[in-house]
Amino acid sequence: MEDPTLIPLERRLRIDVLFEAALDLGPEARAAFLDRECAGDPELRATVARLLERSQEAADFLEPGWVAARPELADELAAGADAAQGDPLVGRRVGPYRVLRVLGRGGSGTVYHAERVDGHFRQQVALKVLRRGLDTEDVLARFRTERQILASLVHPNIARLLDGGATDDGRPYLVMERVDGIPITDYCRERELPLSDRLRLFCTAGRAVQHAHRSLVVHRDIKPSNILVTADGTVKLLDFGIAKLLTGALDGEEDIHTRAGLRLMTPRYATPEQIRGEPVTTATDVYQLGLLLYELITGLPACPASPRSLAEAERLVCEKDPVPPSQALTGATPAPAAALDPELKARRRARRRLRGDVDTLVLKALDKDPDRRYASALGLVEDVERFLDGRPLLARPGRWHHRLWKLVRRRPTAVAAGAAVAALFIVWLTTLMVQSGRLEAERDRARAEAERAEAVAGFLVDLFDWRDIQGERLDTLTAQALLQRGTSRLTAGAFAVDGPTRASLLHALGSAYAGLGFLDPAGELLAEAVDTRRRLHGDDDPAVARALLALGARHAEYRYHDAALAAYREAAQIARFTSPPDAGLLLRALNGMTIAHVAREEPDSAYLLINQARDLGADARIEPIERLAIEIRYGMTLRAMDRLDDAADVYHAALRELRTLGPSGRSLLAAGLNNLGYLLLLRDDFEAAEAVYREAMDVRAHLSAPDHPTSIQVLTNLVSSLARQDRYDEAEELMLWRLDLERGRFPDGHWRIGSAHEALGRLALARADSAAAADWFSRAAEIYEELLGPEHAWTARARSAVVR
Amino acid sequence: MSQSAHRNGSPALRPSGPYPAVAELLTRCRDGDAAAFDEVYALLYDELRELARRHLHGARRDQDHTLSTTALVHESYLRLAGADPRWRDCGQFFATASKAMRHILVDHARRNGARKRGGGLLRVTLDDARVDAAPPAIGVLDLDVALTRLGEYAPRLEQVVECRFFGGLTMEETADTLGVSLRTVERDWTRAKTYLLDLLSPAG
Repeated sequence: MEDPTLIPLERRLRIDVLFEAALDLGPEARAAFLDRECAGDPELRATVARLLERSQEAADFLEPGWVAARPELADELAAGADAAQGDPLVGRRVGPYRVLRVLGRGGSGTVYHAERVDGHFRQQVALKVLRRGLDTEDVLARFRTERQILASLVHPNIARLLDGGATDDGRPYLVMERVDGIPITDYCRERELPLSDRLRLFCTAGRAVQHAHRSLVVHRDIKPSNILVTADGTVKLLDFGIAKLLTGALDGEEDIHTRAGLRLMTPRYATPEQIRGEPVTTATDVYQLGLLLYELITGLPACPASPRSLAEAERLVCEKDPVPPSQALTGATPAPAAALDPELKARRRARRRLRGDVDTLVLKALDKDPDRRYASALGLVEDVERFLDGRPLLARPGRWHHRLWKLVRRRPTAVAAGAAVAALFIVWLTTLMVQSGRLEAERDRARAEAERAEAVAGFLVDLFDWRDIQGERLDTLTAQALLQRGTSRLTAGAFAVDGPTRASLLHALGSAYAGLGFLDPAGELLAEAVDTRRRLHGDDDPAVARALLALGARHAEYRYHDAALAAYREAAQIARFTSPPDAGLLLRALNGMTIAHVAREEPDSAYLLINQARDLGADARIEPIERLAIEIRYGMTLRAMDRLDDAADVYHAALRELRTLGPSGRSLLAAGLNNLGYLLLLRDDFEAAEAVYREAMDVRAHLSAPDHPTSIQVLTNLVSSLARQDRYDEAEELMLWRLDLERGRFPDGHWRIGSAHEALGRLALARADSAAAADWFSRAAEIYEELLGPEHAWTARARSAVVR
Repeated sequence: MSQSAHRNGSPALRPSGPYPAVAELLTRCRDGDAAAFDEVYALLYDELRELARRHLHGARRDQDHTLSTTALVHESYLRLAGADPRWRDCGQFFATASKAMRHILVDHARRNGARKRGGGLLRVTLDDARVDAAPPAIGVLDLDVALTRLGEYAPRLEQVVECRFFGGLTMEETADTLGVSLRTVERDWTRAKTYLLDLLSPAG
């Protein structure tokens, strides 16, 4: 099947024109016509020829006789005219949307399939209209603010909130991306997916939840019917944050005191804190992910029956412990999904492991006490991934004091001793108020960010507008071409944005260029970002400092250490005089200045600066990762001062800690290992250096493709550790790989390709193959000469190596 | 937000008998008034559903769906138009009725069959890969999905299929309805069927 949506529109139209014209011709004339029109494009010819063939088959397709031969379809059509439930909105317009049909009804309102009708392109959406009674003034106000936050929640596995408003008769509505899929549990059952595939789907959903949590959005109603999987296997979470809107809508501000919130929970997927009327946090989502995981593993809901009353819910959800998944599988109750799972049926060991690890992690997610669950959705996902990889979990089976505490809590009368409880309540309430004040401030910032993000999103959409992309197929545009396009549109003023957004875009484009290794455009854009921000905010604004840091990093990459130093120095000045001083900015600036001084072989200056950074870090209670970044540069400074033993100690201590940090520490871990490797090379400890570089390679493999410039730097260093051990064959093999990688990433004449040739030349020289060496060096020299001219130092260096 | 959909009469004001306003709405549709189209669509959706219900309760279920949908669409026309002379050139009516019919059928198929079918184009592909004796099991939902995709880049072909297949209109009626020549409709019908079949067929 050829999916026309994957074919660029212009080509689609071309195919259609040829097909239509050929339809009118006889068989022989068709062949000649196609030969003429599709000369040089065999793919086009094949497509049109296939369509012509299909048109024969299609002769009776959809005609009465064809339908009659398909009793199922005929039946479906004949019976279909029945039953559509009357609904006053069907066929009408809500905002710019035409309502096509009812998709479902729930307690809070009705969901429709609708399409947007005011644009050139039709967009299919799901439209949720709230029922009457939810349309009070403050609910509408809440909707307006919350909508912006939810609209900024963009993730490939989260159905986007696209729009919202009020119908003509004043009911709030939300417009969401329409997802054509089935609930995740049905999907797994129908396809008889093995456990590992089900767990992978789960991890995708869990990571989407984590993404939302980072944007301060809690789902509150995660359940199989809110997690759909489309025919191509894409997971989509629906209704993010909607439960919150609705709870607020129903209960006003009082919902934490009353238990009215129950009305909007799905009883079977409710959490203990929801039933107890306690505040809902990200831990609520972790619990509901646990319920989902339980159901995906066992094929049975964790809560055996849907509670019919609050009392029953309290008993089932707040008191009764779920049957561990392994027992649910082996118990008397037949478990359909498990019985079908070949992995489980085949291997007893798998079941044993399930009993240990899977029980542990599911039950940790399902702890009645929110504080004892996984600290984040990511924590749960990562433990599931550890299980999949056969690594030990971080979760530990419940311990005795935990069980004891649970016993106490099950008898609330025993602890409900008047005064103490009242005191606790006041403390709790105060905490809550402080927290909500903080949330408020974060919301305000998020809102400003959302507006900025909207403008940036518009810019991006504009970048991909096919009507303006001439001569290039959308699907073959490179990142570089897109950046070029973005840059020219922005600088030519084709895209109207306000000053701050423009500066942000310049900053982002410049950083993206720098990340790709295109330092010239990066330098221009970042310098312009700095200038724009100076004009907008004045010389002393932190936003100027942020752009200066990016510019400094670009200069450092280019080995323009003087310029880097100047940029960092100014950023540091700004950070110092910001009120209150911005410690994060200052630390980054000090780090940059340290690196520049080390590179200029001025270790004493570096030492002064990095010690300032260390003092500041100790005072400012910074994140561990920031402190470790300073430590790594401290080690580098000590190394530059030839205090190799001290440097090694500093590196080892920092690296030890970094290894425990997981993914968030990886980038710095790779950088630290790379530094340690250099130190070991200086000490002539080549084997140790090799081991360290290999570890750095493994870490980098988690961070980027092997052809990323930083990964290639590590690879090159690994090669030199091998060469110093006289292991030339291995070294050369890796260096040839590097050359391949560089060729795949950069055009032929790029300096990095020249540099790879030079490195190969040095290797050939080391093993005394002077003919090969001369060959590599002369090819390097050609590249440099073409690029930099005959007088350039690099060209001269490569040429002189040939002569030698 | 647009208020236009209801400026010309809210659902509460709709008369219960034949709707004289419809003829006027259809004239406005033809002149490109989207709000009028929405009104007509809503009217027809309800009307057709009501007619279909009555047919079913009368236990008259034709095996040949084209007969029953044709009957429904035409019956709704008779009911709404009566002897009103303003209806003579309201081709727009049949296009709209056919679209409403399509959605009624798709709604029903979705509610009834979605769960047991597992849905979508994929099943067709699997079936085709396995057998060639039995005709591929193409359901209303498969057709709807493929048709929606087709409509994304060829809206007129989508309309032609709506009229011909879901509305049960003849070629001539379809040509009148869409205001194009008979020749064009015939060619469009072939093109549309070819593209749909291509969309519904396994890779090849």
